[in-house]
Amino acid sequence: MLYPVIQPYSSVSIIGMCKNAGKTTVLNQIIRETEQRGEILGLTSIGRDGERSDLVTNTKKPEIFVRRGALIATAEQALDLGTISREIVGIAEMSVGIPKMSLRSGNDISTPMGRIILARAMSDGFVQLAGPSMTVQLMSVRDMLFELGAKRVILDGALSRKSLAAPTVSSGTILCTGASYSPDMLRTAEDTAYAARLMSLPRTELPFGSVTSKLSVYRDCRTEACADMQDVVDAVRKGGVKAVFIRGGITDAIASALMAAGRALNGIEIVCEDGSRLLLSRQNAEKLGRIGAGFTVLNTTRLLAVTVNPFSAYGNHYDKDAFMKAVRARIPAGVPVVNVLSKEFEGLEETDAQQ
Amino acid sequence: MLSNRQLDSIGASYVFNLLEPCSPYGAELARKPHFYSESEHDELTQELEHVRKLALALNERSEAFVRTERALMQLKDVRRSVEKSVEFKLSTDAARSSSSERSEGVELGDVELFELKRFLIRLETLVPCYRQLCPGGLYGIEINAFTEALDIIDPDGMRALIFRISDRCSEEIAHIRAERRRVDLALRNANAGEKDGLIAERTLLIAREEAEEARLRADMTRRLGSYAESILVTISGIAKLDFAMAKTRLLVKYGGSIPKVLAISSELSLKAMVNPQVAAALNEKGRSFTPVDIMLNTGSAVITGANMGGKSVAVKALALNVYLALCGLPVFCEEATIPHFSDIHLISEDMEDSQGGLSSFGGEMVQFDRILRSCEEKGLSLVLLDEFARGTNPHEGAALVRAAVRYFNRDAHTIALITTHFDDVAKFAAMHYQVMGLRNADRDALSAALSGGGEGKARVLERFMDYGLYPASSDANPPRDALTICHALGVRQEFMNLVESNQ
Repeated sequence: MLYPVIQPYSSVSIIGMCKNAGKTTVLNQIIRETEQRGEILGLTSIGRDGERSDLVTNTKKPEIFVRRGALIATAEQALDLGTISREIVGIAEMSVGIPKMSLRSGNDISTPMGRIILARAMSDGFVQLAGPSMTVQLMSVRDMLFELGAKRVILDGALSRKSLAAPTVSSGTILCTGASYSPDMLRTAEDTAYAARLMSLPRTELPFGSVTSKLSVYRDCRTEACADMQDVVDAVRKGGVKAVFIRGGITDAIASALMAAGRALNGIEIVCEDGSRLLLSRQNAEKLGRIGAGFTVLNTTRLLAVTVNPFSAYGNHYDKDAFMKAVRARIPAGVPVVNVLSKEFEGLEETDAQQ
Repeated sequence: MLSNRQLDSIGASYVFNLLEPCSPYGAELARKPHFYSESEHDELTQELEHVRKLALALNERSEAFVRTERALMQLKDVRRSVEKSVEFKLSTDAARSSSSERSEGVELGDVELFELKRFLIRLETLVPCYRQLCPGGLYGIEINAFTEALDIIDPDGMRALIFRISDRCSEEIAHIRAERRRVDLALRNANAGEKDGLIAERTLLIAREEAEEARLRADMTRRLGSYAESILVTISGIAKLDFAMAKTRLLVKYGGSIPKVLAISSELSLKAMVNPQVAAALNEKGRSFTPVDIMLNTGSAVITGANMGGKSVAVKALALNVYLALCGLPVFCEEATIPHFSDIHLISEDMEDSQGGLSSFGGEMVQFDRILRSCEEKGLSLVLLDEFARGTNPHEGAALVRAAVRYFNRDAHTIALITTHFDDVAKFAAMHYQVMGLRNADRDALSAALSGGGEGKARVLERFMDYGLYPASSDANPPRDALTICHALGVRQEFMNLVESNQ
């Protein structure tokens, strides 16, 4: 029962830790539950997903099944691969920040599989989702789906597209993980927990919201812009810095540069725009944690649930109870953990969902 | 003809970029406007006439103008689909008449039909706007609605901006869809035992629906094909209207004028001419462009004057405005009378390509020779030489310039304008203009301002410089302002002493 989890959120993204994590199963479950309630659902994806069989591993994979009335946004060529009877309702265009001059090139959103077409399902059937590849385009498509009458929009994420979880893109996120990630169950659980933690970082209380410079520090109750990472490190070493704000992605390179400040980082708050900007490896994040630095965000993302799939496409299945237990022990309390292979998602209790 | 680089340099590309057409059709024309040859004189006159009429309409019926713009903005490029429909029609017609030939066209898909429907619906909005804007229409701009074609795509007449083959198109499609709906509903509540049979039934229905839809789309495409040619005529009308409206907005926004382009004339007269690109750059610095008047006729004219006095700017402004006029655009002048030149040539300092390893002087001469040959073959040409032959010694350089002036002066097929610093050139020319420069400047006030140091030296010079272009007598030699300017710019005194002791 995923409906109670997503019910308060108008746009929900689904992100997979790996292929065959059970993303499409989750998506189909959400579709089933929302459409039973008569909700008009808008569906799109970042990149392509929902192939009849997985092109990489050749395992059987469920397709996305929608009911009559659903709105989908998918590339022209992917549209023809679906089996729904459809009505064309629009062609996606960029809606934000487009100067008039761009009329010359047209502002349709196009992908390698053609333009993004908006269609309404006039029958039940399978669809193939191949949405835009950039998050700004995805935001325009999402808004068009709302305009066309979708009550809720579900964004299916291609592999490792964490940017989907950005609060500007979706109001809530479901993270899917499974045995296909690694033969080592504990490693899968650790990495999943790391991803989950990034999506559950606390909001900063410092006033970085209006800061436009890429790098800045907070000292003596005010923010100071920094020219480069060396500037930041020097400031931290000098002392008195309470927090470091990094606009844009925090990569391993930035993390390594920061670590040059050594023990001076103890107690420092590292602030980024939102959890999707943390692109550094778990090892580096943990290293920073051990020194005593902590991460916070300007805009919090909402991790709605973690789903687990103990079945591996490569044969090394996990024990389902042990896997559930390992994941649950490591992710923030209050985030429900659901086994996608359990009958009707029984793993999720109503009490979990309401938290 | 001016090269793309020269178009950038004289500011033509800048002006083209100021055009803001509303539709992709107009945008295509505005990207690089067509230069009208002499044989296309009537078309050019027509284009300029459209702009004149639209400027009046904008003044009198501005609401209709705005409504038309909005209608144009809604249009997308559907030419490929229209062409596809006619290709399909032709290939199926051919296949019918001779059964051996296989049809090669492809019917339109539902996304293409959606676009075509949307276009035809929006055309129904555009047509009354255009009629209101230009009652009686503009000559050669035909924009029609295609209600019958729209009825093919939208037999229900709902005119909604969505597309699906209507159930009305055939009994078969209505029947298949009803069946599919029945199976869909049954499947939703089916138990495991019933499912397989229903899924098989649905698979069959999907295939039947797809086949029937394809048949109906093919039929629609073929029928639409009969309208394709007229739709394309309307599209070309839309392109012309959109482009002409963009020119009109340019005219109104920048306060230029519509040039008089005359077929049989050799009178070139530009009043209060401006170069908008240079003007914009000056405005940014809080200064303004001094408008320039110029009148020329066949033969040579010479501009002399101080350095920094704006000779090159004047030549480029002339090239720009003549080029714009011959592309059917409004000009940045209060008034302009321009003969229909068959070609414009420009040699100037900043755009010599190093031609096959030649020095700048060599390159210039090769280009000059090409111009001489070209002028011989064509009708009336405009030749602009900015500081011609400056790259060689003053003695031979002056001889080259004098010869050029004399050469063009006896040529009835050329209007030539040559700027130079060399002496004794103007006396061979039909006309002589001078840039006043510092000649009439109050020298005491100038040196006071320069020593004041409140503002930058170049800035002071600009303030005292008279950029106007004035007719001068043919024996007037170029002013000697180079040293004044060096002083004003603050070139090192020890050096200046040396220069002066040498004079």
